[in-house]
Amino acid sequence: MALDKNSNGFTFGFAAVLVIVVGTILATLAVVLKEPQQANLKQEKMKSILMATGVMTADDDMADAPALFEKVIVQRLVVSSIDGSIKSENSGSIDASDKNDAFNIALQKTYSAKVKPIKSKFKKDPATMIAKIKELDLDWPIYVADVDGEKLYIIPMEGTGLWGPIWGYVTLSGDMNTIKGVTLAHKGETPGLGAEIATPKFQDQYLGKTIYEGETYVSINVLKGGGAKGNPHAVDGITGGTITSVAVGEMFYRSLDLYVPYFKTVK
Amino acid sequence: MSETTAKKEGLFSKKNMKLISNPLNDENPITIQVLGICSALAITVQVKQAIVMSLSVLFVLIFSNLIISLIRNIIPGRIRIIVQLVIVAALVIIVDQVLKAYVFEISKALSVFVGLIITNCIIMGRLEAFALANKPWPSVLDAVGNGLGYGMILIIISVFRELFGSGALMGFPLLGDAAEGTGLYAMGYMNNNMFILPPMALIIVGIIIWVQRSRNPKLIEN
Repeated sequence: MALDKNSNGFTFGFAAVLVIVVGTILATLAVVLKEPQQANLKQEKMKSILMATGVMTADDDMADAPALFEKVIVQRLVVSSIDGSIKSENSGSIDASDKNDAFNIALQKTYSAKVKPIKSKFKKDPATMIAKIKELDLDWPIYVADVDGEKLYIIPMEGTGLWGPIWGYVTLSGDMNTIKGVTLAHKGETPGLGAEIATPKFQDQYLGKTIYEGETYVSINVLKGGGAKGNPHAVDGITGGTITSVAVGEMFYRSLDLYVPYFKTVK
Repeated sequence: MSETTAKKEGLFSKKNMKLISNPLNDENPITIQVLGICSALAITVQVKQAIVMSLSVLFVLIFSNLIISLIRNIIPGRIRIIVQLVIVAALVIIVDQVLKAYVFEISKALSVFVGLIITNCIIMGRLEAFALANKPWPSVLDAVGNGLGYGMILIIISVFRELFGSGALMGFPLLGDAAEGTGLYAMGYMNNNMFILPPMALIIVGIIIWVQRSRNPKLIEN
């Protein structure tokens, strides 16, 4: 009996076989490529952290990152946002199974699961929002680097841009006030507009800016025209990338505020 | 059947080569069939993005055309669109995953656009119009032709947009440094922000279509 191509049985059978074949191929591919992909993500994270300290630049090969990371980053801390106490402390090589290691904390998950709901609830009132986040006493990682004898503190940040997540690292010098370096990245901001936050041109504006006005924490704002010329607490926003620019300002303010109790214990 | 079709055709016969050359000219997918316009607007701000995107589309187009052509006789007519979609989607995921594993930096630069190849009308269009009714080899040639025709227009648009919008080509600043006011900028030249925005891509596509049709009046529809 010839097979009827248009019978229901053949149609279902064809669909089932197709799905199984395609599913098997994709599942195999995912398993095979998982290791190099995760190694890439780990190296990229190390490179981003090192770029914030100025030890690496965007043009450097990220395969060099792990060795440099071990040499430059002398401490990986997890700190409390309530009293600034240190919850865990690691140094040397990274054990991927150690959940308490600052490097292994998935800050993106903390952000989307815990921070985002509070953020949307207290949209109009940033002060209450940050107080609420601080109360949760989540694990906040911070890295201590030793670059040519100078101690630098690197803080990871997470935020939401126009189209998706934005994130980055900010490096403070030992006075916990002056910015030594910034790296910013994004998942899918508009090329040529919001995506400009990932360029050195935008990030270099942060160098030498300060996050304290006297004794008060003020962070670094992103303003049209950079505020008044010489404003030590603001950088110039991106024309046509307003929402991304505002999101970067918000991310800085919220993220750094969580470490203010820790800054007090160091200063 | 006539004798010409019965005779075995050469791999690079005149008829087969037409499959490649036609989409570059009188059957261009973007300017004549007006397919794949969305991605022509979205990723033509920089030449580099346009090139990698063209290569990715070329890859997906060749393999989806080949696979569909190989199984064209057993695809049930009622679910053929779904079958095409599954195969295109699987190929796009393969491209995306391989880029992520082995050329991480490039995959980061392309971000969501690789995933959006699935929605490129040219791919489904070629599957429906060609691969379903033709043998594998002509289907591959058809895919190469259409992929190149698509890429060619993308690169033309991106050259204009990057040059006038950012004053650079492939990221290399040709016209001097805008921030420091060197080169052309010293004489008061300014980048045109309009070129960075998607509407300008549409205008450039329109101009290409106009130029092409005024050179070849046969293409003008009544």
